[in-house]
Amino acid sequence: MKHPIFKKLMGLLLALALLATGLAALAEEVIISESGVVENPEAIVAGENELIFWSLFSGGEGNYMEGLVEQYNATNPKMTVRNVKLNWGEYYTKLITAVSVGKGPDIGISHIAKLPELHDQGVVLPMDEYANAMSFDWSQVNQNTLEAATIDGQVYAVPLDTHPEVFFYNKTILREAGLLNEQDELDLPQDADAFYQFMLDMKAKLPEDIYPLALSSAGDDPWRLVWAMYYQMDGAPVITSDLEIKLEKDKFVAVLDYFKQFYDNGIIPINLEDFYSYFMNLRGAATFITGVWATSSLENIEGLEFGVQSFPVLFGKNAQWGDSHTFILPVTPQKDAERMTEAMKFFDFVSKNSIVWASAGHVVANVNVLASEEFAALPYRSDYADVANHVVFFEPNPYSYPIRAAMIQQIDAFLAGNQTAEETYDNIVLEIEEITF
Amino acid sequence: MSTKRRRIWRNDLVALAFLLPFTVLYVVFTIYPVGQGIYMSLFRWGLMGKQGYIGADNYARFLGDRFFWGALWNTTKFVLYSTPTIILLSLGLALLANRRSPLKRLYRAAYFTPNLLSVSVISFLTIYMLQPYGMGFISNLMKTLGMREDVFFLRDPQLVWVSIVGATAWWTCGYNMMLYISALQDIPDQLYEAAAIDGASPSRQLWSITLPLLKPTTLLILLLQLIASFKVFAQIRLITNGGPGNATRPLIQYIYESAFDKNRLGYAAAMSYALFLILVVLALIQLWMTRETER
Repeated sequence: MKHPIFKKLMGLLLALALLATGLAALAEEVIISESGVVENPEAIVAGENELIFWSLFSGGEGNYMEGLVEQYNATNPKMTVRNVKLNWGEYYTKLITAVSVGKGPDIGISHIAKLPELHDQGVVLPMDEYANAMSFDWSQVNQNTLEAATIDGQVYAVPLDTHPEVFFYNKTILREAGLLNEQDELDLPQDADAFYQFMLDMKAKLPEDIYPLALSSAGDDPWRLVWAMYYQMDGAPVITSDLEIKLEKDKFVAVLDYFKQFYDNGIIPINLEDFYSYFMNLRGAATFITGVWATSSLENIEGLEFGVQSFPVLFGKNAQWGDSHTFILPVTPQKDAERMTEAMKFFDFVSKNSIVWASAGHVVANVNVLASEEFAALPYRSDYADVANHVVFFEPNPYSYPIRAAMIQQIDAFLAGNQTAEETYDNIVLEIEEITF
Repeated sequence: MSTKRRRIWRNDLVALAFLLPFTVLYVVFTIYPVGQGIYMSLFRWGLMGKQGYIGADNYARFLGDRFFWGALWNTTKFVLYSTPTIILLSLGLALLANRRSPLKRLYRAAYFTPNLLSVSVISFLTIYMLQPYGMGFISNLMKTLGMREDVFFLRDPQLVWVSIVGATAWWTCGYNMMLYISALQDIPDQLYEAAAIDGASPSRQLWSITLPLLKPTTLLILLLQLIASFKVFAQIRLITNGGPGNATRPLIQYIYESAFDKNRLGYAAAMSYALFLILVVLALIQLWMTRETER
């Protein structure tokens, strides 16, 4: 005789078990958010003649990349490419964990500064073999970036672009203040003291409610300028590939103190949270420093007449901050040479057709595209194309990202007035030591 | 005899069947990860997996890591600032909301509502309210009142704590207030009547009746609050991201950064056990106190 409660219980357990299997089955369904971002990219399985491409591009950039993929697929390649958009904030964590369980994509994107870390973790494959198989022409890409993509003599990435930090200015405001030359352009002094004086002078000439320079006092942007100025002083690498900290105290402290004057004397208002909006609202700020990706947004602002040029060389040597998007081959369990070679063909196609990518504002890595008439015809881009040759990258080491984060935090505290430049230097060195143990 | 035994056996089975789903989930999602975490803390361990056995090195390492101590100190600061603030505020609100008033229900609902919001909502509300240059509510209000100086709440090492603790208190007080209200309603009215007849003023009644009788509730809230505050992470991460500099970075954020930004999951696991130890001690004290008060 069975107790009725027994039956009910068994029924309940059965239902739970069914629910559990149901949930497991559900998890394999591809979930795409409103913005087109795929939440569970690992659930997308490649067709036989299909390469899976995990990209971190969204918004405008995402559309240009989507266009390039469609263009490639329209050429009837042996293997088509399926563009899977991931959430940028989760991209690397997803990529690394997916690769570790053998569910990674055929094609990935890496920032050049992140590449050594991916290499160190065993996430990326060297491409020389597959590049040779389809005679990839390495001379078509920017050699400065290619060098940064080479680790222990092997190439791990195809550079797609360089995106440096550049100097934007509002022509309407500066013309009114009488600061443009006959060509209707801004002549920036290429010297630290002269540049500082120039900005002070600009402040005096501008109406009181317009800031001379819009920039945040926290986050990436101040760090990028400190980086550029430190290397303009011909500073030794922050850290070498052998993990030796070479950051020079006197130069670094001098740069920090020089930079802080701009905040202290009202050239850059301190603690602007959303500094983009000040430049974008036409009458908020006369000049603005950020990455070249802002170009395409600025172009679309009605009534904004702006110019752009590279960040001035203030300390003698032309050195700039920039990062670079690159294509990578993530490690897959099969290591299928044919798929890899097909992926190289896609990289080659995108590189050769990257004029589309230039529209997003980036300085493309393909030197032939850069030298083309089409590129020269693009407004603004040609004004800063040369910057790519002067970008200083981290010496390849697996800790660039956490070191960058630590430097940002410390510079942040310095600009907030909570510590001196010397203390900032000391803290950065301590942090780097802690990161690289 | 045998039927009785069978019945007991059956009862046990039924009980087991009821316990099983919880036990399985508890073992799989709590006990196993705790064990796995200890195992992990003995290795160099990246996102790609195990990299090599290093014994107790991770533990020795964080004892000498000043950023670990800095983060632990920040967490402690948060506990020290937020706990009394939240207790006093909840008590005050409970006393207000418990007064005879036609708006009693409205008060309670109004004080409790922030509790329903998620941490990201309260964090972004805080950020927007504190924006400088007349953009945020506070700055705008100050401008309207004729103050010209800008105050940078999230950049000043002291004000940033005021902001974080203020936001947290606003968010969580309602829940503790409810605990206080239910305790207040348990206090028999005769006590107040008798005291009133003996001529005790309302403030005398508050000090001699209400507060002493609320003591067990206060202890409970104190410990719950201590445990919750030691686990602080999300609102700080969202409001200041640990800044300016590292001035507000709590321990859990440091653990998180070590694991996911610096790829040191083993080291992060080791540090988690330091926090775990603190929480266990607090939980034990709580257990002991509840027993004492129940006795």
